[in-house]
Amino acid sequence: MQHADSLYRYALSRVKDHHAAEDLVQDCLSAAWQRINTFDGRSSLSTWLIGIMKFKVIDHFRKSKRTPTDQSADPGGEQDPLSSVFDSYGTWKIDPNHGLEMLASAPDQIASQNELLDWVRACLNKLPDRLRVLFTLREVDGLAVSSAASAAGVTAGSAAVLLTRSRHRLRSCLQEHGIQP
Amino acid sequence: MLKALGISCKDAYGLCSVQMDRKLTTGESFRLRFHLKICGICQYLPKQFRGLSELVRACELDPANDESSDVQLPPKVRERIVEHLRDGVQPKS
Repeated sequence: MQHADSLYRYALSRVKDHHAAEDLVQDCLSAAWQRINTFDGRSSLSTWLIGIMKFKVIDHFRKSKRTPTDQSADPGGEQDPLSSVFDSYGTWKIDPNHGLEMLASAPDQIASQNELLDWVRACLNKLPDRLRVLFTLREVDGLAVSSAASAAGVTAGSAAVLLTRSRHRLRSCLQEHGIQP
Repeated sequence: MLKALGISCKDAYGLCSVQMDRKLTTGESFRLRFHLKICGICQYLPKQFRGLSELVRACELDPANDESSDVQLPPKVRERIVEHLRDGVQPKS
């Protein structure tokens, strides 16, 4: 049970619901205990457990039975967030690089900055629920767009637009925070 | 010629996002590369999209590793899980 807290923190950060996160920890540990013979020690136990938890989180979203909807027109109350940064010719109205210099740095340099990770987490949490779920299933769990769309309850056809919108919102949020290299 | 080959910054921005999710068609790829060659403002976008992706992945794994966090499994739930494991679950042979 020494890993239960880290599993709980991970689950809670993904599903944003205490009860669901608690159930996921139980499911994860049950599954791990049943499969303990398959743990070969090539990775650490905690890495192995988080790997199982990732599948449990994806299952959780799939089983949530979100009704697929075409939300490309209204994922969070905005019609087209890109219209505020491009003019009618599709030219930038803002400097798209301002405050985002860190994103072009080496990934290990980025990941070592706790303050930066806190900002990213805050920005992720500002995304509308479906956008956040779709985006994290795609980017964090690496699901195919169609699978991520299905689990997030959006139509496959609108997923590409919504993923672009998620990335745009995250970029804008990070720019507002003014990340400095 | 430029007009025929060219895409707007908005289109390039969209394609930079799309290529995170699927392989661009030959035409899309050509137009994007052409745009990035001639547009000093957009040239960093692909790196930024990849950086954002790395950052989000690091961020989502981080809560599990954050031992200083005060977020802990409630003791009652912990007991419930221990009981569940003790009573009901057997390792598969």
